[in-house]
Order: sequence, then structure tokens, then C-alpha cells
Amino acid sequence: MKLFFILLICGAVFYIGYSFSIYYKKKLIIYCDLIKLCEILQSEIKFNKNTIYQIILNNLNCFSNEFKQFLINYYINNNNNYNLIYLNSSELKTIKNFFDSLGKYDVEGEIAQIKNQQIILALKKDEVAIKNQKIGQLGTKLGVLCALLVFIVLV
Amino acid sequence: MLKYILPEKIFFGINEIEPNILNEIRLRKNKPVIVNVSGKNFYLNENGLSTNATDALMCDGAYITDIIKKVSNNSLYSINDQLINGFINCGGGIRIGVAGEIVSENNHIKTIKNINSLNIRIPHIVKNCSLNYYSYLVKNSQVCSTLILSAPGAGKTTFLRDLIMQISKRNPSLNSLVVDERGEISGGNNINLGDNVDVYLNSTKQYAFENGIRSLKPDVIFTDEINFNNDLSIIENALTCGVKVVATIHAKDINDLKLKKNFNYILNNFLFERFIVLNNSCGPGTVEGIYNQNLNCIFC
Repeated sequence: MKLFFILLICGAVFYIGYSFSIYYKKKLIIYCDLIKLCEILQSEIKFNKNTIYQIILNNLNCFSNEFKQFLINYYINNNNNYNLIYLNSSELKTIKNFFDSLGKYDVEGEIAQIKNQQIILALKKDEVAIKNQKIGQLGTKLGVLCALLVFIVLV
Repeated sequence: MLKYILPEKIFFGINEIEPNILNEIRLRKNKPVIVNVSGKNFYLNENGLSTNATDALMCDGAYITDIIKKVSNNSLYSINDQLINGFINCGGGIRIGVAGEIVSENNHIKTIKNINSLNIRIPHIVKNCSLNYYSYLVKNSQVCSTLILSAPGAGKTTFLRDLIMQISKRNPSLNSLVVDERGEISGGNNINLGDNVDVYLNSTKQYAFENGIRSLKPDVIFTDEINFNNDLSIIENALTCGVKVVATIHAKDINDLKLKKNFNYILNNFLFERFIVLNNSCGPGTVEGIYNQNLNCIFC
């Protein structure tokens, strides 16, 4: 019984560290998805001038589950209050600004606008990638170490 | 479609009107909303039609912006080519005429901004409206090259659409090509015109005639709103390729048509075998007269 509780506590400690690392990993994946979306938008607008709604709908399966769900709720179902749990409020605002900026120009203007937004998002992605490398990976390692430490102390 | 694009207040008013008789909805910034019903203009209020401007619904500038956003699905670039030509095709054959401030660069129109007027035209399918005149237009399974003329809003497109359906139904051996520049004939490909009909949607006549004849081998080409100055050579080319052409043109009657530049050329070269004059006297698509290639009346 005692061993079971010790293992449970160790597992919980490890999970906290792992969640910390997952948080940055998912954040990075969302930024990668956003950049992928910019590229898809540019090529499809240039080629077939489909509406943003159609482009997103046709390419939903190119994205991670979290981002796909965000696109469905925020853009397709027009639920402006939908949040992505891996992003803080300022990051969410940047992304919502990106969506608000879409669809206001002719083809050339639209592509230039998306390119500008892509640059901003790429900078943000680089920041998140660095954080993921530093803090994210550290989270898993610390989780494992702490879990071991707890195990040793309690046993 | 109207429910989706119109502001709630205006839609409630429109909803009170019998859909079959509604032709146009005119929205002008900060002016009362006007609707054309059975060829007559009325003001629109929350309960439907009104002859009194004081209780009419006013068109807020935001309504117009909102409609443009909805029609373009928040993607202005997707309709900019149409906008440049002064209209937006919003599916189901509904065409929105647009007026505003022209933005140009090097004598080339880039877009229209500060849009202040919209004319929403509602298409109608009047089944069999061309049937009584079918025998005048199709002889021995051969379609006569025909020019359908009337003043705006008198049912040219309605007549043409029904004629396409009738030909497709009654002469399945004929391949038809529809050149639908503004998506009005085929309702943006939402209207079933028949089993042997190909549609070039949002295409210029020049492109569709040249490529259609080459690649689709049509027996007859249908198109809307031709212009003798710009379209004469492509139509003549089609006719000399053995393809029949059925087209519409804005002209109140034969006398109006005679005044048009290049008409004598058409007449002297017998480019069209039939001329159908439509009017609005008994609703859109009422045939006033059918004339042969020598402009002799064969149905009056």
C-alpha cells in the first residue's frame, strides 16, 4: 500500500514536469501550424482565389488537433471567445489580430499582408522554439529527477 | 441566400413580400430602402411594402459594408475581379450591382472603395416561358441563331435560361455551351440547366467562345448581354464555325436595335436568324414579337 502511494506521488511529480514540457511543445506546434497556414493561404489565394473560409475548410487536416479545433471554433463557427489553452492572452490576441487582418485587400495586397504577418509569427515561433529547447526539455528532465528524488527519500 | 446576406431588419421587411414577384432591392447609403416588385418601385418598411418614404427603412452605411463582407466571405480579393466590373455574383443567380469610389492606378481600375449603392437583383425561373415560341426558334432539330432583346429587367435572362432548359430537354443530341459572365444564367452553377449543357462561369466571352468551340464542340452557344462593339467579331467567328449563337442584348424594341452601331452589318450578313422582343407587360419575359433575319414579323 505504501509503495503504491509512493509510486503515485512520484508519478504526479513526473507528470507536472512533463506537462510543463508539453505546454511549450504544443505552443511551438501551434506557431508552426500558423506559419503553415500562412503558406497555404498565400499559395491558394494566388492560384485559385478561394475564400479564406474555403481554404481553411479544405486544409483542416493539415494541422494539429488543437489548432484544427481552434480554427473550427474560432473561424468556421465564428465563436470569438474560443481560446487555445497553450497560449497566453497576449499571444491569443496576436493570433486573433492575424485573423482579423485577413480578407481586406486585393490578391497582391492580401499576399503582402499575410507575408508581413508570417514574419511576425516566425519571430514569435523562434522565441517559443528557444524556450521549448531550454525550459520545455528541462521540465521533463526535472520531472524525472524530482520523481526519483521523492522515491529515494520516501523509500 | 438573402437571409444570409441582408441585415436582419431589412430581411424581416423583405420576408413579408411574395418571393416570386420581388425583382430588386436597392440599398443606397443613408437613403430609404427601395424594392422593385412586379416592375414597380416601393419603399420597404418593417411590415413589407410602403408608398410612404417617412416610415421606410433607412440604409445605414454599415449595412452595405456588412453585405460586402458576407458576400465575399470575408475575402475581398475573391470578388475583386467582379467588383472591378461593377457587380458581385453571390450565388443562386443573385447579382449585386455596385457603385462607389473607383480606385485606379495607371488607368487601370484596381477596386471600388467606399461603396455607397447596391442593387440586389433576384433571378426568377419562369418554367416554360419560352415553350410557346420554341417552334419559331428550333427548326428540324437545329437552333436558329437568335437575339433576345428587351429593356433592362424585362426578363431576357429568364427567357434565355428557360430556352436553354427546353432545348436541352427536347433536343438531347445538341450540345449547349453557356457563357455565363456574371453567374446569372446558371445561378453560379446552382441551377440545373440540363444534362447536355456545359457552363463557363465568370468567364469573358472572348475566352469562352474561343476555347469552348475548340475544346467542347458545342452546337449552340448561349450568352447574356452582348455588345456589338466588343463582341461582334467573336460571335461572327462562332457563327462561321457552324455554331449557333443565342444571345441577349439591351434594346427596348427593333427600332432601338437599329440605332445600335454595327447593327447594319449584322443584318446585311444575316448573322442572326431570329430576333425576339420581350417586354414586361404581362410580367417579365412576355414576348412582344418575333422577327426573322429580314426583320419581318413572324409572330406579333
